[in-house]
Amino acid sequence: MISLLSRASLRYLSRHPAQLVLAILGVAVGVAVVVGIDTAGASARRSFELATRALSGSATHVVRGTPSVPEEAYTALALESGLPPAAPVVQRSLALVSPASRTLDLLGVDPFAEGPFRSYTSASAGFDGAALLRGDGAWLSRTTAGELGAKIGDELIFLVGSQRRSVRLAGLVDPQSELASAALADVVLVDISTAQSMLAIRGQLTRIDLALPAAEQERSAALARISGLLPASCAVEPASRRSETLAGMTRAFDINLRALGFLALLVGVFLVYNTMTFAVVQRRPLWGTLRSIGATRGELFRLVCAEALAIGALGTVLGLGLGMLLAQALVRLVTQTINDLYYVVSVRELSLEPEVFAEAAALGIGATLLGAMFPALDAMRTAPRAILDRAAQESRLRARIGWLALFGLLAGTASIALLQASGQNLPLGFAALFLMLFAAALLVPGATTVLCRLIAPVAGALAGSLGRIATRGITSHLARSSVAIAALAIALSATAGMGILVDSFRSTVVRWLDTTLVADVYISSPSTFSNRESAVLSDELVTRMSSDARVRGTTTFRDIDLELASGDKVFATAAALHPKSRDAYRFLAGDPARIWSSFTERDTLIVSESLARHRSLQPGSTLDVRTANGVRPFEVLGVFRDYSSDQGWAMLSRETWLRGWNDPRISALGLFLEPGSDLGAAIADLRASVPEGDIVKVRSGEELVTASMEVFDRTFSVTRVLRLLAGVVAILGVVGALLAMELEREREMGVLRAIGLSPAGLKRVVLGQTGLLGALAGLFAVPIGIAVAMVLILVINARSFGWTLDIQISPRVLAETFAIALASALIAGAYPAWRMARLSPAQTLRGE
Amino acid sequence: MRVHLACLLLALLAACSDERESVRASLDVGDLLSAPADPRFERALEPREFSFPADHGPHPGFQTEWWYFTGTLADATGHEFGYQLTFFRRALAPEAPALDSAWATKDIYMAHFTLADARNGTFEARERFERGALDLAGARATPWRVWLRDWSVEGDLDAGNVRLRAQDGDLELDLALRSTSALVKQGERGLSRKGAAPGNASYYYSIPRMRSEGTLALRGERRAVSGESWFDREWSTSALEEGQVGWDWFALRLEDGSELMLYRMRRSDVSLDPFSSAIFTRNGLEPRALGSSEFTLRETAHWTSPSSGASYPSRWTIEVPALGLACEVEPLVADCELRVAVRYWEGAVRVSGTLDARAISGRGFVELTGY
Amino acid sequence: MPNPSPQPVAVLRGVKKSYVEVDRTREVLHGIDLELARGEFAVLVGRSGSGKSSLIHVLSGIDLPTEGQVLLFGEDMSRASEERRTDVRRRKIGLVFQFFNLLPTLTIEENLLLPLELCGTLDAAGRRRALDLLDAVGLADLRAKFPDRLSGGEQQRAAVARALVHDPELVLADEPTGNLDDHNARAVLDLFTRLLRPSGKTLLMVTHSAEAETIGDRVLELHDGRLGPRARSARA
Repeated sequence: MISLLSRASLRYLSRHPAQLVLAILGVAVGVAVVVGIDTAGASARRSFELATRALSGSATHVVRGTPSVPEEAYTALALESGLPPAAPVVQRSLALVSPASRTLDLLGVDPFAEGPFRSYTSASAGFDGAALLRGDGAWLSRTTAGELGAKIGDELIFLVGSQRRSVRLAGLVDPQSELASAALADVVLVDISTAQSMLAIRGQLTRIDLALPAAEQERSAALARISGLLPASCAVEPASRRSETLAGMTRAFDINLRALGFLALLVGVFLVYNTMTFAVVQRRPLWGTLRSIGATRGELFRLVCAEALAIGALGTVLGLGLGMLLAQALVRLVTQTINDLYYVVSVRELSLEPEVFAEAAALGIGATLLGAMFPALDAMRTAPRAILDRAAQESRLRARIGWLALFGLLAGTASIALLQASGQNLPLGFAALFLMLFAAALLVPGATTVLCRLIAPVAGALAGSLGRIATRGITSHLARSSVAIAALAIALSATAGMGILVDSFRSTVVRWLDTTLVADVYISSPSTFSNRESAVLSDELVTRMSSDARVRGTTTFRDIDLELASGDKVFATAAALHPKSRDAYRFLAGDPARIWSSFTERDTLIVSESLARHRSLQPGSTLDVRTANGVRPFEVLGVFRDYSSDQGWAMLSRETWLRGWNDPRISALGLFLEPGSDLGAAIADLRASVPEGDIVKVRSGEELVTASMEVFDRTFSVTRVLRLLAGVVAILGVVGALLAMELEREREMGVLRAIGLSPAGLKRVVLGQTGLLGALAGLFAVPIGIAVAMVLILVINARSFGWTLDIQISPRVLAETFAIALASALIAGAYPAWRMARLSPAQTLRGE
Repeated sequence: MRVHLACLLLALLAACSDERESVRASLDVGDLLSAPADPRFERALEPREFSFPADHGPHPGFQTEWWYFTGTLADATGHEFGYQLTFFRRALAPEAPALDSAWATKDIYMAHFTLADARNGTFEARERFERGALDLAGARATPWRVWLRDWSVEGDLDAGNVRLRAQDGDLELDLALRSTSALVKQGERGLSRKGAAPGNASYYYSIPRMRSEGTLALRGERRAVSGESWFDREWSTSALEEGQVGWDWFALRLEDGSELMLYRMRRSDVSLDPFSSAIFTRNGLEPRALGSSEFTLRETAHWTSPSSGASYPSRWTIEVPALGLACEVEPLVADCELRVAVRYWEGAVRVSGTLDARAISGRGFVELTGY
Repeated sequence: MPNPSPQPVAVLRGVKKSYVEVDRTREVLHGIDLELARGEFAVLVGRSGSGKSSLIHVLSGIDLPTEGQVLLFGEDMSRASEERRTDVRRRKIGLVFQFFNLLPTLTIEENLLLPLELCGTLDAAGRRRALDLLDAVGLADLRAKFPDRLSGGEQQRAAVARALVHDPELVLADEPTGNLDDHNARAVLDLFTRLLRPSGKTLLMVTHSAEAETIGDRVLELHDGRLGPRARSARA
């Protein structure tokens, strides 16, 4: 009995291959998006962890200093008897300019101290310590060298500040473990003397790695001894501290990425639910017949579940494969963003996390089962005769519309309550967002019914009975159509919400850049965020530039890291601001007059909005900053608007910086020209006067805005891709839904054809109906999208980045959303329209 | 006669790790050892007048030099120990690279520190490398001091006072040394030839006998010890000649106050290298140089290292008919194999035999390489 | 007897119809010759599977014959395009099905107006005619209802009205009483006589019902894909 049952069911599916393919594809795409996003994110995270862990080797602790560790601190430790192993390290991200452009981590080590720390600096890895001491020798991993196209003996030219510095590729290292391989990706290994000389930091170390004993007592004894030997400007911290700090930096980015993945998952579940519902619902007559001839409910239910399991499993397997491909593409975008905004990370291979696979399998198989189960239960519960009657099912749904709407309203209210009650909690913010989307989905059937009732007369007036058929077809097949509309509307509203967020963000940043970049010309080293510490301009360059006859005034910046007493680092800029530059700062808190009068005088600073939010700072708060003269309390004078870093940053006056650190170098220079100067000519002249060997960017304020926006746009490329993907998933979903829905109406269409509707007319009816469905989804997506955007801007963005954005709802995004909805529905309707128009009505009527 | 050991430094640098295989692999590179030195280095071509204390300090113009202390010690209960503390300097190039960094250097220092426990038959060996920069390692003439991080020898060699200190984990040695014999110039007025090629020679002097007292700690046990030490000092720019595979070196202190230093170059064809030689000293008398034909050295037992599989001679009979000397030489501890970056055997020995028909005994040190 | 007219409404000559199935071709009509004169009521009987529905489909232009000729109002349908056939069907043919096949999303009245709309004759006169017809089939009160609110008999009466609303020359009814009880069956047959006879329309009705046979001018039997006169023995 069961085997015949299965056969009956499977033959049905095999005769409707499109349905089967769509069901499997639906599951596969849903799974693929989730796997793709999660794997890309996890791979970037894992690569970073590996790299950090591998670069610090087996160090348990590190000595860090403000602004750096004097090498005497290392000598003091090294000459002392009975201390645990220590290794000096100079490390900095540098821009490689030849033979290829890339940011590499320069790792300067002392081969004699390396032994206990980094296995890849050993001879077995191909590393030759003696050659390392020859001055300009550098080592790359074989992989990295291959990627850069560098051969042994080649010159590697780096940009240090505005100067070119070169080393020679002396050898290749073959890492023997995954860890070492990760560590050496994009790392250039040199002797510590070479590193110091290249970076012009004689006497300075980035850190000292320590391998302290594991036993608590011995460890604290060693720590005490070591601390006693270090100068006041140095402190010992656990080695994991820095990677934790960096990982913390990207936490918000990470959560957002995962949320996008979750969104795709949500759409994926919809999609899977949708396709499975159809696969079951479509066979109502079959179930009815089988029940009529005596199949029990349990038998049918098990049959449906087994089938769903098979489809889910097939789809999941396919989805995992697709997801890996997707991850390959996404990981590039993800790492690009991380490199632009946070730190250097290079992903060599995807890291396949078991959790991701588990999640994907749960989604693929679970959602499929779930999707099949409700309609199956529904069908099985009904008496055989009633199963055959589709109208009965529809009328049951119609009876439930009110309840669904009520639940929808309740969920919406709960969502708003959660938004208000969740404080600064980001995951709860996302939970509220998803609850809101869920509420919207529940409201779709009711809204669809109401709207169709309103539209029907209009459609009737415009397109007569065919218009009416198209409109009423949606309400009469509400069980199908509302799921399709909801899926499409939710997916599109999410993408619309993201679109509005990006637009608002972009316009806010453009406006902010326009008001902030007030100098006529900006001169900076071509550095990226991750190597900004080394981005200093040469003295000669600064002198030449600022002494140009047309220059009326200057603003100088120096990018630095402030180390707090807690060991945390805060990005900061030491600035000597021209009055015009000062006027460009917009304070969200603090009195500008008071701020500027105290700015240069005492240990004070001003903080960006993000930093203020992250560290709960306000005027009058203090930050304990480790200066070269020890820890000093710095008073926060004000909070300014800023969009340049989601971590936030602090600004202190150049005078304060010099007092505390005595480091006169500058990273960027803004020039104000005499009124009436020819900007183009001035820039050309300034470029020409750049000293030999210096590489700097001389740009007008406008060019700088453009360049900044390029980075901005690149940052959002992941978002764009994900929007696109969500769209694709939605379209696939709606194709499946509409195909099934229209195929179910084959007979009705056959009647229409029989009574004289031409094939072209039939196409119009089908496309009219799917178009209407798309239009409805588009219509719903607009308000939901705006609501999503509000939550994204006012809640999610604020909680994760701490920015105030001017909300900008561009009609373009809304129109786009509507257009995508309409277009995807029309695309979805194309196949059934074509198929039905081609089908002989005799075939559909043959049951007679 | 440890010139070639220092030659290995270059190869050893490739092995600044604890990975044994890598070290073996690098030692197979025989080319490295026989590579001709940079012509800009000075060479030991003819005898020179030593000038002290300057010559106790570094000779940066030469590629290689070392300060070598070995000795036997005993505590009050007669518990005997052998120790070795040696410092090597090796220049990678005649000049330091032109870098704006205090870490830039041309000199690499290596040090070996060993303790052998005769009663328990144990042997501990430690090695260190360091660059000759930033005071991490170095050598200077006045006041005389040679050091690698916290391992050091210092004092006034001319006055015969040396303080020797080394500690690594539970291994510790702190000795005050006082010369009891005169400084001995090896070879031809201090010029010791190692091969046929001119310049394949070193400047070489020794202080064969230094009264040693201090403390020694081993496995958490600290004890007062006393005994005698031997100091070797050599600098050169020298390379292995073709066919030379290793050497056996003996420094024996006999209880009547005389000393015998003897070395044998081993060739790959098992023939005795003509540059093998010996010198016999007795305090207050002119040292007597002995050619390779004037002594015989016979191996009477062998010991196979369980960890490296190498088979070393472990007992010898030495006969010098011209001096009326015939003696047996036997290690205090069989396993004195240094399993550091480069593998060799160096340990304390006891001597017994007859000199001028009188029974005689003594202590000494033996170095065996190339096994 | 109706007056024989010079041109028959429909002519089938040597019509064969076969369906391609998975691995074979099954011929259901083995060469049918049939003429339907204007005003004629023809009744077609035959066992289930004898090809009656196929004949209706071929005749209405819904389907094409595999072989042979179908002339509708003198026009060769077997050579006409899909569009042309649709056009002839929508203006000159009315179809009634066993399962009523009213469009569930249109009200009864809208179902009636649909053929007019398709012919492009949905004017005041057409609406009036639809109302008259609804009145005639006794459904005037139910005209605003959706088909699923109506009983089977009511639905079939509405379907008959829909088949006639655009004043077709030829009405093809495929077992119109097959799903109805006696009372309703009689009402539907009555409608055909009442509404078609006076205006001289042609009717071809496929039926199983003995009673239905009584309204026919002639009774044909389809037996294994061949058409012949009514065999006494088959009548039971």
